[in-house]
Amino acid sequence: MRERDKFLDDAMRLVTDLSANQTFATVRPLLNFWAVFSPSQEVSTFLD
Amino acid sequence: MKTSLTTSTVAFALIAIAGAHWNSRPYQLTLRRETNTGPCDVVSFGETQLHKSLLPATSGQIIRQHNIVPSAGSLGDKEIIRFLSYSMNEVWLHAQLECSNDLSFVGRSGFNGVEMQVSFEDQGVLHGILLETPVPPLEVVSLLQSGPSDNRIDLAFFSDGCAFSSLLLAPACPIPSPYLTYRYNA
Repeated sequence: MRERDKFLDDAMRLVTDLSANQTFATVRPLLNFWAVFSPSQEVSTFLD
Repeated sequence: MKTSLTTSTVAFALIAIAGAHWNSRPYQLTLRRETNTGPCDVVSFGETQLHKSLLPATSGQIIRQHNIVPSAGSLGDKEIIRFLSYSMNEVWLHAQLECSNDLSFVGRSGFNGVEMQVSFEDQGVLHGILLETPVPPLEVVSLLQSGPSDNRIDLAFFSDGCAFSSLLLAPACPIPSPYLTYRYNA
């Protein structure tokens, strides 16, 4: 669950960046944001 | 030829009995069928987006799309057949002509406005991937909503399962280097 929370935090940070960015201000009311998560059997083969 | 003519006559008769029902947006029906066999599974049915080749409502036009999804394993090839039309009657009549099994039960559900959902496994089939391994659970979390998905652009973030330290080593995490630089070093 630690990785899931981290992923959701990362995704939410991207959403905040995008929605606060002036570049996307005009299309912001047209966007919905979702996070799609599927757990793995192992944490990560390469995780240090 | 005679059989075909009879079938068409029956189809038109059914349209006349059921009455024409035109919708402001086209309906899409997706069927899945084993190759060279008759019975179909209904994968999805519901309203869909406007199609540039589909004339406006009241035309009765129907678009049929047919794809064969090959399988690398033992599942066997599948056929995916899509019908698009503003007329719900046309969609179900054409579908019934393709399938040996009776679709009327599902069709009646459609008449009652029941929209069928596409399972994650079926989405794999629709996009050309036949899965022999169990499909993992998929959790969709809403982050920020501005309105109904019908008239919004939905952006979804997927987790890639790669730690930063692995990105430089793992070919399974093919992120272009300029993006890496921007995202992690900027």
